Amino acid sequence: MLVPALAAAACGNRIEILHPTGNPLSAALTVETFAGVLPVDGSRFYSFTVPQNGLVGLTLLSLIEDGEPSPALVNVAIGVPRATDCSPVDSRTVNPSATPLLRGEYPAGIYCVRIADVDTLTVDATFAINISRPK
Amino acid sequence: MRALLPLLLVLTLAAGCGDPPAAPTPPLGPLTVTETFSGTVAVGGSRFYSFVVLPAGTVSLMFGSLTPAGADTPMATQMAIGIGFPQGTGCTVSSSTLLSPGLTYQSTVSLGEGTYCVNIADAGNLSGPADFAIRIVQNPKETAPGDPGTTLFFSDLTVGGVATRTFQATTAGTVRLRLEQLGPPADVTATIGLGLPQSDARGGCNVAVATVAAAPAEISVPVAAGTYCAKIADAGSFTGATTFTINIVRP
Repeated sequence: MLVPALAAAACGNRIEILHPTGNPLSAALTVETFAGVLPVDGSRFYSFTVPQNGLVGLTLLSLIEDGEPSPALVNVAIGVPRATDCSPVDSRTVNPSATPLLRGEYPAGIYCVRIADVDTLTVDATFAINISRPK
Repeated sequence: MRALLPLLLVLTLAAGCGDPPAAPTPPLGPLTVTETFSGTVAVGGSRFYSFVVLPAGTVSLMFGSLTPAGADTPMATQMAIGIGFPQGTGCTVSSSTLLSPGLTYQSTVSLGEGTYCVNIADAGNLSGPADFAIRIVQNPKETAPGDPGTTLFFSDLTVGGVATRTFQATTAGTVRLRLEQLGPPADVTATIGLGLPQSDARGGCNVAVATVAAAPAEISVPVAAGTYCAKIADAGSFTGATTFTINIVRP
């Protein structure tokens, strides 16, 4: 029904582009925590669902080697589950921080967070990542 | 795609202002997408593989191979296999089906657009880690390109050697693998098998059915239309290099 209405408008030299109503950035948020052990030279991923358009944020809360906070950099990415891994869409190589390392608007769908060693870990490390997403 | 929407709309609307209608084009059938999920599952363990369905369509599964890890002896062991959604560190499946390996589709479902996963889990039947291969086909067709016929598969084979050959079954039917010649010596035996080609570049073959035999010998396996592989390997009886000839009779 939309195209005929727009077609009529177009033939009258006026084109209207309709924008969806509602602000996707105002959706209520929830937080999931992805915690585990990152092996030396390895990677881990975690899948989550974004039920509606909105902001997704990742925060690398902690990275621990030998019981101590690690100075190592690791790569953290948001991506899409593909085959037996998580295919990164947006990534950062970072240290833990209380502020989000990645924020972006994402349409509804299934996404994943991937954390990977970038040849900096000396032993297997425990980590925790907070995933903020629309509820 | 979203960025192109205004342009597409403008082009569509411009076309609506007096241009003659374009000649109708025949509708394209749904695109067939084939992926192979292979790996090793531990006793009591599970593995999963994520894939995208776009647009909505049917998805068929062929649990094509299960062998002890690192070996080529096909197992008839039932595994729990299902389709679900990637969630957390796994694949959430609402229901699984117990399946044994075979080269026909054992499960077909209709799925809407989205991201899904196939999960394979030990149903309590494994006694050791096992290598598996599952073919995931979106919108499978009843026929594949090519003609039915016979493919000649022959070469030298060294001690401990392996040879594989992929081939196409153009329609569902029975593939017959006929070991016509092996040797000298005449009593030498080899493992011959049929299965799914490995998805990596190593050119391997995940066997679904295999037997150890001297020539002449034959194995027959029902298959769906698609690509398969034949494999022959020294079964441990080779004392020197030898030759083989296999006829692959394809539907």
